[in-house]
Amino acid sequence: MLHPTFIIAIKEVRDIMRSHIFLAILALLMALTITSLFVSELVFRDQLVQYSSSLELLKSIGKSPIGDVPQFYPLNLLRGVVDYIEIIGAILGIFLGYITVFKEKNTKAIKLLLTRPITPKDIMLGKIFGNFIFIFGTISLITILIFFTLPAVGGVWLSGIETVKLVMFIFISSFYILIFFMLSLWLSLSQKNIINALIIAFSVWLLFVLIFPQMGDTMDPDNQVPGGFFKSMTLDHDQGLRVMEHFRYYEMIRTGVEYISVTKHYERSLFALFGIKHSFNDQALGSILISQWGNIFSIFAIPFLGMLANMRFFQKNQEILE
Amino acid sequence: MKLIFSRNVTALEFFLGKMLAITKVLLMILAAAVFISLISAEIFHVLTFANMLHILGFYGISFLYMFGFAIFSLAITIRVDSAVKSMLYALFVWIVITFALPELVSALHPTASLNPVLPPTNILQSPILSVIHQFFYPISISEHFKEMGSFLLGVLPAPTEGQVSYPQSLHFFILILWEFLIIGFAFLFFQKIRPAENALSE
Repeated sequence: MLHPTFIIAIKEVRDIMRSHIFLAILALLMALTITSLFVSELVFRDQLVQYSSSLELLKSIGKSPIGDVPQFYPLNLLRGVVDYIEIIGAILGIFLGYITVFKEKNTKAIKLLLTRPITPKDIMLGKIFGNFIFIFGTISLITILIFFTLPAVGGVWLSGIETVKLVMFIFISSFYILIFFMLSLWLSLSQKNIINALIIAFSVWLLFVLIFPQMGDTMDPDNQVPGGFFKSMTLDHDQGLRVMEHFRYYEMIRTGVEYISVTKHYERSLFALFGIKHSFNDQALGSILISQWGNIFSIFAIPFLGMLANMRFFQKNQEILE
Repeated sequence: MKLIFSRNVTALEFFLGKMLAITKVLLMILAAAVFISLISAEIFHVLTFANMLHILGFYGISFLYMFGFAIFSLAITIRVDSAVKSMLYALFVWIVITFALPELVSALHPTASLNPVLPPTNILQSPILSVIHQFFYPISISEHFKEMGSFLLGVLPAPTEGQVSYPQSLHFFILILWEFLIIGFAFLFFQKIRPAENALSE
């Protein structure tokens, strides 16, 4: 006999699969993933062609080449995919959290459920677990697609360590989406008018996914000139840091704005893992994880806190679903 | 719905009423944005009359752009039997227009579509991307809006190699065309409303 938590979890997954929402989200994510990989690969090939033609030109006029040869790291092509999960994954989490409460408020099935020897804790855990299985399954399918599409567009199979990084992508992305699921679940439970929950959740999404991360980038002095302000002034990294010491408070506000966005934590951890931030490309996995532990820890810790908050709230206010 | 159509109200009147309501809400939001923009611009620079007209022009085309999405969402809500699904499908269309098309057309990373300081990728020397760019650029609504907006605000970057360069009047024409197409599409949906058959289930 299965534990009630698992029975509820299985029912949650079945309910989501029965609705067309699952297929719609999966189809959209898959289409965007393929588009993104295809475009990134074409961009890389173009960079190689441009580098080769510049090299030939420099050789023909007797000058030695400057700049590094563009190196191909297959996981670098996943920048667009990370961006899409940041945006669409958060929307998916919000909708799942809303729907799971909406259907209970509509059908009043929870009243019947509570007549059985099932605790509110079992119900909440079952709902969270069921939705997590669905999110994990969706991201796993996207990752399988990436695993087979990358060799097709890039021409090389992923190495063992790159495959491990893809597996880590599944976990980090699933927990990132779970953060928005927890927020939406809590709002849907706590708001008297459930549609307000959706509106508040989308306001938070707008602020934390679209505005704050971009504000941090927009305020970065180095981003004011394409290719980097300090590079254009022929200043190296250390010289750039020394200049920025004069703008300590400005930098504190800028990084503060970035830090309050969980999306930025997600982005930073995956940009490091996939080498999209090029300084991480040849680093060992262990040292990447050590440098990114704060970002990764927050991605895993926030859903856990969200789960506790939701369980506590539901235990005290179980009548809201009756 | 049943109550509304029990009165002497036609689908066209109902549709026009909804459009007027959306217009009013959007204009109120944009009026606040214009006010804040003018005040903040005035703090840093002395604004000339021409500057003010450019700012107003920018918010004018912003209205056109936003109105298209609002009407599209209205049309979807009429057709789809669940409020959640209609919101989700409208968001999908927004994602495709805002992120997917610019990525396909101009190789812009999704977040670069939101960020004014990230440089555009200069990829259009690639023959395949160049063909895709020329083929899809006319329907990349968000890029037409961005081009016109940047032009009006005087921040239009120089076109990258191979980029299709339209005159501003053509960008404006495409925005107007998008507006009319969406309105026509929504009106068709409105005409199919059968209140007696409970066409709006939520």
